[in-house]
Amino acid sequence: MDSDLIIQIKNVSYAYLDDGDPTTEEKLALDNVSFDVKRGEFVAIVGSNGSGKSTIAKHMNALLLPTSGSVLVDGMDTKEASETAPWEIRRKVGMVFQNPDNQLVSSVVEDDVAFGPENIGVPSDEIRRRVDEALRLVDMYEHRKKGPHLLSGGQKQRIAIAGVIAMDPECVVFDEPTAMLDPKGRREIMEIIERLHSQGRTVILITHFMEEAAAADRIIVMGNGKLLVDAPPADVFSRDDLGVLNVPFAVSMARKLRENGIDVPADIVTEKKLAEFLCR
Amino acid sequence: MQIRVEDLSMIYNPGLPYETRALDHISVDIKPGEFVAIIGHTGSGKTTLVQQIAGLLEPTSGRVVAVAEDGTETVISEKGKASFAVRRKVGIVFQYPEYQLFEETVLKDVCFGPKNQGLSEEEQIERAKTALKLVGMDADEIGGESPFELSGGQKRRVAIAGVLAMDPEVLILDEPTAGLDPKGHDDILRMIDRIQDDRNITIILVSHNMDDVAEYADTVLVMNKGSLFMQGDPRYVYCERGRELKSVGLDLPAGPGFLEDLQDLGLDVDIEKLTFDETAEEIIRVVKKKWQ
Amino acid sequence: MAVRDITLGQYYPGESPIHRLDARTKIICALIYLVSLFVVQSFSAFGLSIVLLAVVVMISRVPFRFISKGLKPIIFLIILTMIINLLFNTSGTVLVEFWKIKITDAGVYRAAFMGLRLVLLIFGSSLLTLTTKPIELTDGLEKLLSPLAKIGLPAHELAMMMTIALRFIPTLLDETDKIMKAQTARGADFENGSLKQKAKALIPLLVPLFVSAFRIAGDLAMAMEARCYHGGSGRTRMNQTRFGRGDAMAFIVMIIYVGLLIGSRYLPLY
Repeated sequence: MDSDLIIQIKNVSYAYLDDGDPTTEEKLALDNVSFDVKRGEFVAIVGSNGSGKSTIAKHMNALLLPTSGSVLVDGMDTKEASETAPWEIRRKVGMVFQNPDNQLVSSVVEDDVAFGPENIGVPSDEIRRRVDEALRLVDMYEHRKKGPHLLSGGQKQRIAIAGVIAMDPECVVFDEPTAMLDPKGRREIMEIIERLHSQGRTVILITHFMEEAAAADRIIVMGNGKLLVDAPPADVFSRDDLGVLNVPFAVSMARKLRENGIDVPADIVTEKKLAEFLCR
Repeated sequence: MQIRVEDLSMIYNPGLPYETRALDHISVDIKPGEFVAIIGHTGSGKTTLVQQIAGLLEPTSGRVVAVAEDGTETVISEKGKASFAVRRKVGIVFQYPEYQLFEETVLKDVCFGPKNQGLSEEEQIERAKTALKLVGMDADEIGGESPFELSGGQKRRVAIAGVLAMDPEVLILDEPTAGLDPKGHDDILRMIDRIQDDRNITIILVSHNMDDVAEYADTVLVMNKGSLFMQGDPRYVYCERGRELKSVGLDLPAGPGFLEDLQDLGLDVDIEKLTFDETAEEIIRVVKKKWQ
Repeated sequence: MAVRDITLGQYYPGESPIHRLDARTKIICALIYLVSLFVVQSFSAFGLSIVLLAVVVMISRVPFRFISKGLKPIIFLIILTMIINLLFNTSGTVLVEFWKIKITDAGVYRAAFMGLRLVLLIFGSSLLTLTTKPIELTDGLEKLLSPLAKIGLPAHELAMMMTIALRFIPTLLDETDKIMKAQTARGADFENGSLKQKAKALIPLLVPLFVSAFRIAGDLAMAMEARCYHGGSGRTRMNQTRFGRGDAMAFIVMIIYVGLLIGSRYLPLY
């Protein structure tokens, strides 16, 4: 067992349940996918709709189990764990979903954040401490007594993140957390994601937005259930053969500048870095 | 058909402690065939405004009027009245429109609007087929399928076709690309642009995506806290008054936004550029001069 | 937006001693109070019930107009009950007589009695929901019912269902509003036409609403699973409810109240 790996995906294939109709072609949502995630790493997974990126995400905390191959979370096989106590996996790998409305359980913010720790049997005083801490981390402490229906989409999503953080997972998987948010909400969520990463948590971000993926250490590109590329952002964005990508503004600008004789280093993929380079 | 918004105000829960002024004395003219984008924060009144224009909400005061080519005026909405008759000329596509599909087949669903307009069955089907074609779908191929079996992007197209089938002169779209992947996003926007060219209808697009607005809109209306904060073409709004836009927390398109960042870091760039190429040229000019 | 403003349950936020009581205490006390209203036989005993209610209302600092709001939907029912008692009680001395109607002193007495009883019933139960958060109410119910889990009553599941229902009512109301507007924009007419036409017009609303409800349910189930939900066993709670001095006081007051009520039956009172 390699102890600095939190998640190991080994030759995973996944077929959606047979609908009983023999004429239906079995479609593989995942086709022999393998990769590892190191502790403390920030990995982005991108790909168009139906590429399998959400399906692979749900394998990381035993919400889905591979049809063939195996997934190890902190050395535990998700298939074995799901027979006895899948929550042992889920307390290590938390998950934030796309729709901010449909993942909050309680009509009071702080009670919702407490839901996860309550489920894993954390003592009451400790839950209180964790809930307050998690709400402060996402800057929602002052809203703790409110009902979710009075909050904006971005705020609801922050509550969902607090709910996951309160379980103190090693790794958080974000499944398109910003897809339904406005730009302000999107920025807030990305800030929190980067904050979590800087605190040493492993972050896996599934997203459509390349600007968001650019913040990761590594980008995995999925297409038709297959893993197409697994490389650092600069390498991924420099490839022209990946039709699913529309590269971030900073990358196409850097490219344009290079064509015109301004020698922008290849590893610059964010606007912040590009601006710093140009102004130095 | 011209849309004239006259001193329109909308107050939710008047007199109660949680009274909210969703629209505050808005006046604006929307010319026939114009591509208008409405931008602003969530809760700035964009959705309330377009629902008034569509005749779905009664305002607290003021009114929305449709002015026909011959000058006749029809009230779309005023206090005590939200007009059904004119609504047919103003189509509205809500956010996540695929959640309104309900019929057994795609064709039937698209026919729902025309049917309510009292058209004959042949006319309904004719309209539905044309509308499906406009959104890039083949009625013969997909018309008999259940709308619930389609992919997310397809569902959205069918829902848009359902509104187009009513043959509106003004088409309102409230964040039509929300939740789509980049390809789906580009497809829908190009489709809207094409429909506008084909049909010469007015488009009113509510959007958070400043790059789309800069690329497609003729006129940008900026809403802030229920008021019309700014109005003009993209170059005016994003370049000439970009700083003000940022001061109320709104984004700029990638190009002008990046130029402002550079300026803030002390680079002497001219920020009044809008497109990608203009932005690149300006950076190249300034950086080369500086590095010489 | 308009639908969203409907206040749910009818909780009146506050920090009064009544608000701070354990939800279980309030549920039990409210139950005792409601039952007592049916046991009461005399007006003087009712006086006791009114005094108790008035004192609790004062301590709770809930404005009276909020409490009386609960009467609105059933005011018709109360008046009807009173009229029936007034008209059809023929025993006792006749006070007024016209046409075939006799109004007797016993009838007046019964009518006033029934009216008062209903009003107190409403006030008593409103006070419970006004001073207890919906979520505390469901928690309290879960704990009160938990002994019955041994005989197979799914106390935790019932409470969880109530929690989720409370959480998603605003969401579904919002969704209804949105779908209605969208279909109206496509020419649907929810207001005019015969009953049959109206029922048919609901299909474009109900089908998408059901689809939405199922989508929400699926999403929520997955989110709950991801947050380690696996039923009630091994679960802890953040808000540990402990009976405090206030709760003890409340129970003592209720015991005295019940004692006085019982005592009043042996006294020659009206």
